[in-house]
Formats: sequence, C-alpha cells, structure tokens
Amino acid sequence: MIEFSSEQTPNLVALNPAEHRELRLLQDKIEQHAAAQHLVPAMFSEYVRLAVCYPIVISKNEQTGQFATSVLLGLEKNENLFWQDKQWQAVYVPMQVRRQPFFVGQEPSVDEPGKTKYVLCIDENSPALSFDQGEALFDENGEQTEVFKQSYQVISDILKDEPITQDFVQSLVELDLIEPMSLDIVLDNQQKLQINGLYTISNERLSMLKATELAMLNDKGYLGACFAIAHSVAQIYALIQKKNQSIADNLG
Amino acid sequence: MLHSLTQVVIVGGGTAGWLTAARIAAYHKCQQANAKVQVTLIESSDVPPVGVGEGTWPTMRATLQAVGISETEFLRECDASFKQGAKFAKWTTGAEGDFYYHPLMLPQGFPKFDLTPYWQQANDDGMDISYSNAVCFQEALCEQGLAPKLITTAEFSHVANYAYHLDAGKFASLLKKHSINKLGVRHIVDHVVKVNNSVSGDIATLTTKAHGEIAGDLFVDCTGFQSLLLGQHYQVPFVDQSDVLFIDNALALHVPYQSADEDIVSHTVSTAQSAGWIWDIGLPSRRGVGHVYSSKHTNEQAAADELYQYVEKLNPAAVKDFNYRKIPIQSGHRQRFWHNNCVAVGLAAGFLEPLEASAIVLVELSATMIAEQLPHNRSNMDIVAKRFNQTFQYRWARIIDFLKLHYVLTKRQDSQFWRDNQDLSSCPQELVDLLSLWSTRAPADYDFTSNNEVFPAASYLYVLYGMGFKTDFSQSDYLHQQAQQAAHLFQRNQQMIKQSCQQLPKNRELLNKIAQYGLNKI
Repeated sequence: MIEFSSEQTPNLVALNPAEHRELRLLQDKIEQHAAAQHLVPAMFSEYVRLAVCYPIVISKNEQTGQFATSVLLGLEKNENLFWQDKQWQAVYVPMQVRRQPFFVGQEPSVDEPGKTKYVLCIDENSPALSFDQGEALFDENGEQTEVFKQSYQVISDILKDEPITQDFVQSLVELDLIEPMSLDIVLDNQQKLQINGLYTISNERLSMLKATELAMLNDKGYLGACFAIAHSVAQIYALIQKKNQSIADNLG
Repeated sequence: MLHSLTQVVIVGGGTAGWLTAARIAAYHKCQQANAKVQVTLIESSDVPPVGVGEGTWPTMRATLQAVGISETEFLRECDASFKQGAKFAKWTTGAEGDFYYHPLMLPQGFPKFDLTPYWQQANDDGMDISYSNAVCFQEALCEQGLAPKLITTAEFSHVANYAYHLDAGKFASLLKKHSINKLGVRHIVDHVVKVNNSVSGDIATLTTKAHGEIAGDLFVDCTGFQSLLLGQHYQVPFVDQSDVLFIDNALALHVPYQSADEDIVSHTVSTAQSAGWIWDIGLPSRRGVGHVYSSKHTNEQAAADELYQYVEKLNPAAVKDFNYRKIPIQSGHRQRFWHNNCVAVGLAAGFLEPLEASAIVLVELSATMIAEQLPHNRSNMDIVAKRFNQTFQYRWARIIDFLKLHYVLTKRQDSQFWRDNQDLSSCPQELVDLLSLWSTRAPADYDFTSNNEVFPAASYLYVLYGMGFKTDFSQSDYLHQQAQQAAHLFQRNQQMIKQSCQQLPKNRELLNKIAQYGLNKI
C-alpha cells in the first residue's frame, strides 16, 4: 500500500549577486529536478493547462495536515512517468518545475522588525547550475540577463498565485467539496497497486451546491477550476497506460 | 402530553446537563422552526464549575459527532488531549516497576482467536513480556508519549483507538455555547425554589425565583450530588456501595508542567497508595492530579502527604504552593433513575470513583437513551422508564464489578485497605462467580451477553492478566493447539509496535499542530 502526501524540504541559499555573479543556468537541466517526484504542487492559474496533461489531485501536507493541490506524476513513491529519456514528455510543464533551481525564502525584515520579507534563493546542488556552462544569469556589469528575468518571472507569478491557490483550497474545504479517492490498480503484468491519501473534488457535492454557493465560487473565478480538477481525474487512465508502457519498455 | 410539543426541562448546567441538552436537541432537530421537542435548561448561575482533569471513553468521539462539534474546536476549547487507556502502577505488588495497562484496542486476533492461553504458556516457559505488550501495540505508544494519530489523519479517525482527557468546566462551556447557538436549546439562568406536582404525582412545574413557573413533560435532574428532583423531591433511595468500593474522599489539585515541551502523557496514570490511589491526567496546559482514599483506612493528613510526595516527583516547584480541594464522595447510585416524569443523569444519579472514567460515559449513555427513546405520550413514559431503570441498574452493577476487579486481584499485604479489598465477602456475587469460572478458562464474549454491556471481555482480559491472575488451562489443553497461528499474531503485534512507534508523533507535538493548523474533516 502506498500512502501519498506531498512533501517539500528544499535546501535554500539566498541568491547573492556578488557571490553568484559567475553563475550560469543549464536550461535543459531544469526539469530534471522533478525526475523523481511523484507529486508536484499545482498553482491556481495553471489548473486548466495542467488538466490537459495530468491528473490534478488534492493531498495533505505531511507537516501541517492541510490540503494542497498537486499534479500526480507517478503511481509509486518517487516515480515520475513524465520524465523519460532525460526529457519531460508533456506539452505543459508545471510552474513549480519551471521555477527550478530558484526558490522563494523568507527572512526577518531589517526595515520592519517583526515582519518577514521574501528573498530569492537557489539550490546550490542543482544540476541546472554551473560556473562554466550554460547561460549567464548576470552580465559583465552585474546586471540581470534575459535568462534570469525569465526565471524570475515564473517565481514572481508563483508568489502572486500562492494566496489565491490557498484561498481556493480553503473554499473547497469550507464547502465540503473534497472527497477521498482510493485507487486500486491492476497493471498489465497483474501487479496490484493500492494508492491512498489522495483526494479530489466530488462531482456529487458540486452538483448539490446551493445557488448562493455556486455564485460565490463563480464570483471568485473558482468554478471553472473546480470542474478542471474534477475532470482531470480521468487522466489517471493515461497515467496507468504510461506505467504499463514503461514496464513493457524496461522488459523489452 | 396532549399537546403536540414535548417540553424537556433540564435542571443543572454542568457537563451532565449540557451534554444531555445537546444530545436530545441534536437528535430531535430542535433548531428547526417546526421542532416537535423543546429543550430548556435551567442553571442557577453562569459561573462554570471548576474542572478537574477528567477522562472519557472513545464513545465521546461519536457523541461529539452526534451533536455536531468539530474535533478541532473541541480539542482547542476544552484544553483536551488524547487518551489511549490507563496505566495502573503499584496495584499488584506495590513494588517499583509494578504496572499494567488497560489499552483501548482489542488484543490481536480477539475475539476470533484468543491469545491468552498461549501467552500464559510462553510466560510459564520463561518469556518475560506483559500481557498487554504481547497482544496489543498501544502500551508501547503510551510508554513513549506518542499520539494515537497523525496531523494528516481526519477528525475522529485514528491510527490507535483513543478517548480524551479534558477540562470538564471548559467542556460544559463549549457544550453550552453550542447548545444555545446551534442546537436551539432554551437557556434560563435562575434558581429553582419549588417543585410542584400535579395530582397524578408527576412534576407539573418548577417555580423559579425570577422566571415564575416553568412547565414541562419530562424533567431531567442534572443537579449533581444534591439530586434535587429525584433524591430530594421524590425521595428515591440511595443505594450505598461503600461496602464494595471503600473510597470516600478525594483531594484534587492542578499541577503545572515543568517546561512547555514536557510530554503530555496520552493515558491516565493511576498509582496505588496505602489506602487509595492517585489519578494523574495530562492536559495540554497542566496536569490534573488527585488522591482518592478511604477515610476508614487512613486520614486526610496521611493522604495529603502521599499526594504531596507524588506531586513533588512530577514537579518539585509545584509543591511550594500545595493547595488541594477536598471533595467528599459517596460511592453508590439511586435505586431507580427514572421516576414518574423525572430522570436523573450524572452525579444526581450516582457516583463511583473515577478509576475507569465511568462518569462521563454514563452521562453519554443516559442522554442517548433518553434522546432516542423519548416517549411520544405519557402512558408510554412508564414503559420507557422501566426499561431505562433495568438498563442502568445493569450498567451500574457491571461497572461496580469491573472496578472491584482491580482491587480484589491485588497481592498487596502492606495495609488494611488492600487486605480488606481481597476479602471476597466485599465482592459482588456476580464477580465472585466469574472469577471462579475464569480460574479454568479465560473471559470471553459469552460472559457478557447483554446488549447493554459497558466493559467488553477484552477489558477483563487486560486487568486480570495485567494483575497476574493465573488461569489453569490444563483441562483445556486440547483446545489450544494452534501454536503457529499464535506465534504469527504475537509477531504481528511486535511489527505493529515497531511501525506505529516510527510513524506517530509525540502527543504534545500533534496537539500543538492541531492548535496551529487544525485537523481536516476528511
């Protein structure tokens, strides 16, 4: 039995233009970060695009027990079936993968004591960072390059998206729209997989919402997202097919 | 009840009063405009009773769900913690290291397969493992201060079965707020000065100081020890049980933790003393500790000295301000609980020492039966009353048997209290009979056949074999020849101990997280 829940323990180092001036980004290595992740957080603004490729699922954060949305990339722990032949095999890659190797951290604010401010961090062990290969992040004058600005844009989009995503999930909780999903899968080779700890949006509960509740979801722009998530569950069939294919390929 | 609206009037606003009000009001949908039942609670003052720490049974989870209180809200507002059973220290020999557990989970395999004869054989052959540790994984969790669930586990769900420790005063306050705001209970703060009968002998009205006469169809007496309606008004006799259970006094106090990250023990600790025992209940903000003793066997000063020593070991700083509250108690219950149109719940019905946390569960059971079997007319009330009385006479008797079991099995000879407790003449006949049967076979479900049982066979197993009771299985050897299956179950229990100890967080860590994030409903 596999218990699924999201976990993230990034190891952060604040980006320091003086110290990291020579740093270069290997753009083709960015997606490798998620090569062994079965769940990647999904952001509100990308649900519709994600739903075209992946099952969007809801799981509990192991540390807080709180619900969060993610895309399901594999059927076993540390399995990403979209990472094949050292490439990401999907037309749309989640923001939380594209932002690699950058993170946003928080540190105590110097200007406003008691408050925290955001700081841009990097993963120093990232395969996508190098001192001699790839695209420069800063030019000879220490100014940010276009490559850096692109990555920075993804991070700032995520930052803007975060409170909306949280509020969206909170609305789902308050309206009792979340239901557990238990997957009992039999693969082509007769191997059985049971996956617990995943949740989705209940179609039944959605259809029972009162007019005022529907209007609230609609006003906030959450209604489409609800259906995108509820419908994306069917992508699990595609994921099972990928799993069967990957087993067959390995045998061949 | 010729009118269409049934009026239930509850007198008394402690845990019993508000729990009964909430249970009846939730069951009969009293918050709806067209409700057929109205629940009114009269309490004499708005000041909540001072709560000592109290223990519940796992039944409280279903009760909270039935009245619609979320577990997160309950844990946060009642200073509540998780309870995974009870640890009885020094009850058997009185020596250091003498203890056993009564956990809240069935033994492995039980009731389909009883490991007891195999465990006893293994111990006779020199394997040194306690009964509960051999057959259940919960003792290990308790010993390590672990929680019975994870932050990702849904409200009211468990990894290991659990009940609660709570602050009874805060619990009554939460139930009150919830009953008034959400469940449609009418609340009157006033003193009842007179009880007025109708010609039939039923209570017709209660005269209050400021609100005049309050009429009702059913009156629930939750007035505590004073038993205003059932005891004082109807003079239903009190059945004294002090010849079976000798405890007649309690000294109670709160003990602060030494530090903010000290373990919150996830079980009730009950430590035997020379003429009684000390309870120790861990809440998130403090401990509730108390000494219950028999004044026929010791005096207040000696009992207070033992309590002082116990508290000093918990927290040396706490004894600088050693003040306890003395509560005289009388073990026993009313001869009947439902008389005419009056039913008593809680202390008004009776009291037994808190050894197995039977007080709140009796309130839950009473409130449930009143709610579910509330008669639709006066003539049926006598039938319901008769059935209620039979049910609860049976339940009180079984609880008394089970409490006495903890005493009668002791091997302690160090004081008159323990020697008197071993005298079978102080033991109810039902229990004497069972002990005789169990001398050649283990307790089983067929010993407890009523659907009104409170303690299952498993509870008797844990106490009997925890206290070193020996059953002679030699006559039934041929029935216990499945050594391989037994070995498999013992092994499985050890695996579960290992797994659950790795998986589960500290009890305090989980309670802190719940305070911060809350638990999800699913």
